[in-house]
Amino acid sequence: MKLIVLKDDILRSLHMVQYSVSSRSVMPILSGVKMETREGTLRLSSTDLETSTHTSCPASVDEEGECVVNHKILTEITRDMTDEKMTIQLSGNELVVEGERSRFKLYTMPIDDFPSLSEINTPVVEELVAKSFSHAVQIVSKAASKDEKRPTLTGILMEVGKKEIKLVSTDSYRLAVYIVTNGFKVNEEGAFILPAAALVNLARITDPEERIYMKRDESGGRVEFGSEAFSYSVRMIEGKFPRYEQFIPESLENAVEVEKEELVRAVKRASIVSTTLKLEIKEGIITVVSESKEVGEGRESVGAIYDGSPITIAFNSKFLEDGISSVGEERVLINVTEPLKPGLIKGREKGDFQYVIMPIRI
Amino acid sequence: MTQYVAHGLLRAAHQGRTAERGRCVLHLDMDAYFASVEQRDVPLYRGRPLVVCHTSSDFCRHGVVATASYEARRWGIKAGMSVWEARSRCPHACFVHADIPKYLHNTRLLRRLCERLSPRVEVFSVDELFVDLTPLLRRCRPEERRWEEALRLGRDLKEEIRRKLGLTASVGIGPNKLVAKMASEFQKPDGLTLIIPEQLPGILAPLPVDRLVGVGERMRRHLRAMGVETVGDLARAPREVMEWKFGLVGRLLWEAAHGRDESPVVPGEEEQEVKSFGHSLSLRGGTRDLEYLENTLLGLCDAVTRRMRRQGYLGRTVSLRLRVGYAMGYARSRTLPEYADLTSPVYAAARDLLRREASSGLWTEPVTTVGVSVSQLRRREEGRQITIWECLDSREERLTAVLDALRDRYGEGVVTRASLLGDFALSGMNLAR
Repeated sequence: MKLIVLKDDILRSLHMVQYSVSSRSVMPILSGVKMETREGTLRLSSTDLETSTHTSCPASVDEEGECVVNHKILTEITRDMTDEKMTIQLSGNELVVEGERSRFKLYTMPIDDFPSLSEINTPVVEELVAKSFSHAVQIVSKAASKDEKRPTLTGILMEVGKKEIKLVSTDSYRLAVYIVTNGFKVNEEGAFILPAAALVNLARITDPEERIYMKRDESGGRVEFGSEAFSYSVRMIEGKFPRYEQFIPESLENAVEVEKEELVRAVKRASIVSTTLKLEIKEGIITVVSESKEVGEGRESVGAIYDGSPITIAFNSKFLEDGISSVGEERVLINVTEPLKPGLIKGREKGDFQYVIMPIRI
Repeated sequence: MTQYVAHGLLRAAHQGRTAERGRCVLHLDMDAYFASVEQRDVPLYRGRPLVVCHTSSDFCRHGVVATASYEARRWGIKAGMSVWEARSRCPHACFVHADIPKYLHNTRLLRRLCERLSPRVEVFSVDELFVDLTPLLRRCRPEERRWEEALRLGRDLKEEIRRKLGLTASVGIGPNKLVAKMASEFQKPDGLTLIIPEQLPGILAPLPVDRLVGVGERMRRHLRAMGVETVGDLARAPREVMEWKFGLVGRLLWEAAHGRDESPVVPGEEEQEVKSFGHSLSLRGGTRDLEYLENTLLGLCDAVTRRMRRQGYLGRTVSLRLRVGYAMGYARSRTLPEYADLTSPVYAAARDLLRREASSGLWTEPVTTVGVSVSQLRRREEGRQITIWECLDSREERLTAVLDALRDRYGEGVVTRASLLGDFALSGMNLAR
């Protein structure tokens, strides 16, 4: 293998595959990146067995070949190179990376050990505007659980329908639903539970301007997202996602309307004192109260539109802030009925985002 | 208990040193405490050998002796002895369960009595208290009068305890906690001993070295190897050698041998922080019947969570305790996803653990004891994050609230599960509170 690449090209590709590189040393080969020449390009692949990423970068190939080297070391060497161009050459089990004045010899890893995952072919979504999808993932992933003991809750449920794509997540204290209604072409309907962390990484490597596809494999164990620039495959989480519709309150009878930014700021300040915030909702005003035996007390008042009977309800400050700040509109509706019943947060105009938040019993 | 107490004292001696001069400390040691309380409350036990046991068996078959009454001590029964041995020494003794909450309550009363004397009262263990008399005696002149006054206070306190609580205590008075504690041990029961600093060398020197707090069997052997048999020998040993050989403990022991102790009397908290709630039940003869065990476990979980709710605690770690045969006891635990105080999440976890153990092949003999405890607690008023699952079905919570209200009003036995009407109800565990 012998080729010449531009430093910026290969560095971009190396960054793209980094999320599938495993840092754990159980299988050393997983810390490697596989490099292979293919039709005048250099193809890079990585996998941690849960996810795998492929991308390619333009190269002028003199001699075909393939090898696996440690991803972290190659990335660090490349990043610190001063030259614009790099020559990469494989001789025996050494990969020589050369700039004008620098020369590094990296020992390769046994290429046969590099796991090859099966092809994923069945199209689910033919095209999807990456920008709106990534936005949805970023919002919904906040409500996903980090508790590995309940694997399904660490995932995001992706419901693909002809008219809408729904993303749902819950950590059992709150539940976020985001509905994408346009900018996609669906081939096949289906529901998939995908690791939230993997989708966040996907959102990081996609260019907002591009369109991505989604495919699944025949056995239904993995899905692949990709575009011309890359492909990223993820193993689905097995199990049943809770039937989330039952948690979403149907009516908005007792909703209070409030200016989003103003409330977010009030919540942020109040949460300095305590993580448990009490919302005192009265006609025309919401008061955010935080009390702590050790620290003290804080009160923040925000003007609101409300004509129901006064109610006091307590929430975790982070859950509340996540919910309100995720609303993509200027004005927010918060529906609360009873101190121990779930609250609902959504935008005033659109129905694309719904956030159920469970109160704290005080 | 002694060993633990001893190290506690040594450690405390090191931590909070006080340079106060002319101190006077009173040590109060209740005589055969648990047994005396029982004898006071139950006339039948008076004048008879009575053995209070730490045991989980209804008939005090196993477990250890917590306290033996003085009558029982004549038969050679001591605290820490196995119940089985105590029985063989004195088959006609009365054997009773230790009712720890009762004794703790009694200790609180005792503490209040002492606090009338001086605000500086340290509850050292369930049956021992230190009272700092220094501020009371400051105005006494001349010096000798101080000790007389201290003796009078000690006598009055004993009388007060006899009158108000119907119990006897041994009182020791000395210039510090260490000496006061030694003094109270000189005369038992119902003793009153004063050791003044001038008498110290004479009294201490001939004592065998293991009379010092902190010298147990092992330390005694080590010291004997150095030729130290009495407290006097220890006091004469160079301090550096003791320090070099035993470190901090060595130095503190050396100082103790001189009757020196600067640890202050620390007024403690009213109550110790609760760490866990648990109940266990011995199964007579043992059983391998999983269904029976699960049912017993359900009853225990009911009892434990009921107590947690009464005291306003939520817990997160569920431990299952098992004894297989009469020798092998062990515990398994699991952390719940949420803090809980209802039966079903606690029981579900405990039952899972039980089922796993049942299939583990460890049960070569029948299970003789099953218990459950909940730890990793937090106070209910700190607030509890509700989960979305709960809003689907709050029936258990509402039902439990009603049952709790019933029990609060009409007693624990007013309502019980039908499945627990058999042996479990007979054990009386459903009435635990």
